[in-house]
Amino acid sequence: MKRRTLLKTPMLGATFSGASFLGAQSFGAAHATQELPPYQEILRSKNLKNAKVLVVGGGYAGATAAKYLRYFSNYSLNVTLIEPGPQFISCPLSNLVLSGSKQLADITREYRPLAINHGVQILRDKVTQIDPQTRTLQTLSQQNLRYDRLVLCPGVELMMDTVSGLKQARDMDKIVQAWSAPEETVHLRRQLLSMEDGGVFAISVPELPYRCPPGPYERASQVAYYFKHHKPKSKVIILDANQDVTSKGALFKKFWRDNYPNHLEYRAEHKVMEVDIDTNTVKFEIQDDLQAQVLNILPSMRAGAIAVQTGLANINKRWCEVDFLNFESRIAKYVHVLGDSIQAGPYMPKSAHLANAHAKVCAAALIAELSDFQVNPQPWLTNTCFSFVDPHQAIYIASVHQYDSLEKTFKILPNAGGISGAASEREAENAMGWAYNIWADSLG
Amino acid sequence: MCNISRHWCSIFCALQRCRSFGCSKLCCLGIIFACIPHLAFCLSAPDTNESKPIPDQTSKQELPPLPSKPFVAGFYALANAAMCAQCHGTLGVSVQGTPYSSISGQPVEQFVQKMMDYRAQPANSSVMARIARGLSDDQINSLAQFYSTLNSSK
Repeated sequence: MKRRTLLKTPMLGATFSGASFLGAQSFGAAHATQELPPYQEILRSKNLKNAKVLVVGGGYAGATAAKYLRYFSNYSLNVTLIEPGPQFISCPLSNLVLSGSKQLADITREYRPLAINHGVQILRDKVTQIDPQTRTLQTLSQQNLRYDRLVLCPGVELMMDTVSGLKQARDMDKIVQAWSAPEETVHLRRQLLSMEDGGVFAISVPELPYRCPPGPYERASQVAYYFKHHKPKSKVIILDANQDVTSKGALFKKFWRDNYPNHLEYRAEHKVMEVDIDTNTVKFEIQDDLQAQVLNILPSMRAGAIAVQTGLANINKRWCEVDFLNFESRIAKYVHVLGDSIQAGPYMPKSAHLANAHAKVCAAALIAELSDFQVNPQPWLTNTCFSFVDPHQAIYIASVHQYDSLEKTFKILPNAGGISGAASEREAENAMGWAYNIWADSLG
Repeated sequence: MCNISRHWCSIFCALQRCRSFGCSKLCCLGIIFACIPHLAFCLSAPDTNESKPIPDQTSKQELPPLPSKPFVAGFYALANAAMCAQCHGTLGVSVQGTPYSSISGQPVEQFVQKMMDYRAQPANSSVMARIARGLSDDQINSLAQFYSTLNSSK
């Protein structure tokens, strides 16, 4: 069997003169990736070499897509990742930064290995406009970047206008969300540290679907632990727009009952309509107003702004409908949407693990299409999501999602999805191990 | 289903294999000519598969068409196997110091037996107890085959 060397000299700087590419020069350094089995015979390397793929957004979906587009194509596809941030900061585990058991540096990773190990071209820039008709996009510094395929991974946009007064509160740094920008967690932590004992931390949960369903409950648990040990007269109040805890409900509620009876209160069906920053008051659709010292108001969410602006969010003007065999948008050809921006199938949460999984299905499908062979007709996805209930114990939810060719969506088989037993230290170790492995898998 | 692009793919792959055996150009031409009548038939036959998603119980139930070549199946296996990587590392090589075992290079029997053990455990006992329940025997075998062929580096 004919074997080719994997490391090839990348074509650099030819397209984007003056753009800031990271680490590209050092490409060619030894890396540990194994040689592909002889699938390369089916890869139309000529087609792949001539195609240009732009990946927009360097979160779990975008980083994974960039890496696997390169790897699955036997390093022949031309892949550029466009991401404005200098570093990758993980949303999963960021609630541990809030409680002080982890530092921001612990959950920060470099994009550089994508360039060094896999020859991904990295453009540090922000996309301002996409034109699917001409297959071009604009960034802050570049005009008319052409693509053959676009992989759009813009995450979520917080709909600040859905809560009256929230945008002003955000602009004045009085209320931060720390939901799509994990570095804001540090700001929120400072607010909690400076709060006097006896105060209230109120966190609101928007109606589903939103990014990371168990996230608000994990955050509330972390703050309750902090209060219990450092500010015992203080209290966490969860204001949930939903009828009940939206994820791992039985596990969270049992842990709260057993561990934070005086430090955490859960209120269902509390939909936040307005915040008054002068009095730090929250106003609801139905119930009486609530005053709190630190507010973490999470508004409704929708697909990342660039997806909405491009007209791809065709479901309730919020989420992007895709073909689950290749994650191509139902609105725009040659545009693939991954991660939290999509209209998901049943019981498919907006999670990091699934974003990584979307990316691999999309990468394989895109390469099959470019090489003129059939896209995998039977893909499946895994999902695992851990939540820390205190600094040392965690719970999880896990599932397998099999593609159903009749209904054209992913479905969970009986017993193939569900929650863990009680919170444990063992699952906390697994949660940390998961983080190290998914970071390496997505960015390494 | 009659998929023209897939036929072209099989011709392409046949030519590739033919060349790797050191055959002459005449032989390749032979393959192309041999395919012409079949392709002509495919082009003329209407594609009725799209309109009948649910097969009629009384008629012959056809299995979905196999991928045109084992290599394509292998590419699918590669892509599917990447679904283990979020926890077990890219190509089954787990980050050292994490509780997840490296599954790269694991013998087929051992891989399958472990998955069967996970299936037999209570559903809420571990993440893998859920994952094992979500995969068919064929999928588990395919994963086992894939990972057994990789070099273990741990």
